[in-house]
Amino acid sequence: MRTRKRRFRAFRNLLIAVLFLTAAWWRMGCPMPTRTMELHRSEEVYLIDRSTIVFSCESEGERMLGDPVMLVALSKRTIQTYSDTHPFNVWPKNPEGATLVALPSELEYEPALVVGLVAVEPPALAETAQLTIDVTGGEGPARIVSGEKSGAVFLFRLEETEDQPLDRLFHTTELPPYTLTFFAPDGTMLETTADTEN
Amino acid sequence: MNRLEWLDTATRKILFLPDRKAVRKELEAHFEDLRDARRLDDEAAAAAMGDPEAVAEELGRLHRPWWGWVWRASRIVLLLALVLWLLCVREYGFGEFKTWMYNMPPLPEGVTERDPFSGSTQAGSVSVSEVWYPTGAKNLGHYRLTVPMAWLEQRTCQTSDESSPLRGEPRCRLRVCLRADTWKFWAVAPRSGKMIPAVSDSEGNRYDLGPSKWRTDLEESGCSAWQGPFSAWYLVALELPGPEDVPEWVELSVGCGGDTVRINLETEAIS
Repeated sequence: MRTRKRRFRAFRNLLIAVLFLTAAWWRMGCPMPTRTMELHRSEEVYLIDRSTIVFSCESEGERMLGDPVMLVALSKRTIQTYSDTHPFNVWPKNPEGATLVALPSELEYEPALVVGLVAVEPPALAETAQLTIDVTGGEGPARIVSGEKSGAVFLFRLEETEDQPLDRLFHTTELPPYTLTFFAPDGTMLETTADTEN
Repeated sequence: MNRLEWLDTATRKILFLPDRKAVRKELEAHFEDLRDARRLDDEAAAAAMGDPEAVAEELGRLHRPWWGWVWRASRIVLLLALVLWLLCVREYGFGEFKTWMYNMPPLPEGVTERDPFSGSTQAGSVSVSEVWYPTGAKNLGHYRLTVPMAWLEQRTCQTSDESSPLRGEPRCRLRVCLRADTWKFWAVAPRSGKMIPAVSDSEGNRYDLGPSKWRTDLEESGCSAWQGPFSAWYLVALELPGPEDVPEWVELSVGCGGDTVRINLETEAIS
């Protein structure tokens, strides 16, 4: 008898506790335990196919606000970039080759602003890459940057100068005109991707 | 063996402390009744109570500790959950909860020649000349999409600014209300322009909406949203040249994955 009462009371208490905890979790905005789960939840909300994370790095700008990690994730038709303060940017994939995306926050803040651009789905044999990008709107020379291979992607670091501000690069999914070139280990050019529309 | 030794031995296999105390108390009462009824001393009464080891085995078998511990733990968990809930209410408030539970766009009641949006701050008049109630639903991901209503409204702006190009100009607008329901309250459709990025129609027109068009009171096409615990509502507004230019169907792009929902205004169906 005593055991049956205890069993009933234990179940009742746990059920009420679950209701309170669920309500509290909902009231806090349903935070997910990990950054990856937050990213996948955003994908589910926006009806994007579940992605695979292809790149992760830290941002000095994000570190000042909290968690420094930024993610780049690859889905069937899109590429997503994510950080805690810039929750979600969706980039359409380039059907003809690699896709260039901007990281959602600064790589470095001091002494100079450094923005990161990531080339996703480069040719499999690519060992080096070069990015030519016009951040001046045609008013100045284009910047030529070499990429750092990082797993399955290439990272390009663009440092801001006085005459070429870059702060607009990572708050939008539109990049200025650029040309991406990939090279094999022996220096042979493998692929060139260009976006000259913006 | 005296009374205390007998009771200690008989209850030592009851591992859950509250149970052990309660059973010990009962046995002690029984012990005293036996001693008083037969006028025995402690040792004789202990012998009359039986073998304490055998009693201990039986009592240990009957009083498993697990449910006791689970019950104790559940009380602690409940208390912690209650404290957390109260902290949340204090931190995040509860004032807008009622508003949020019933958060919906203003929908006209039907065809009207008078302004259906009472309390509107817009100067001018709005009339609803045609209303559609599309039936059916479309499942996309974890959403169930329905279109409760679509209507054609004509708005005349009566601004006092004589130089305004909108003054006296009747404007025709097709409004489509899309509702996205889900049981996943942690993944409700957001109040964001990304959710309805574009609209196309049977006339070949394409309206690019999205964050730059995210306004609630529109001079041109756009989308506004409301969100509840299990639903989100989107009110898409499309500027039309005139009331005779209502398309046969409109197709809303939903989300960022390329999915669409088509609303046929002639058949009042969704696909």
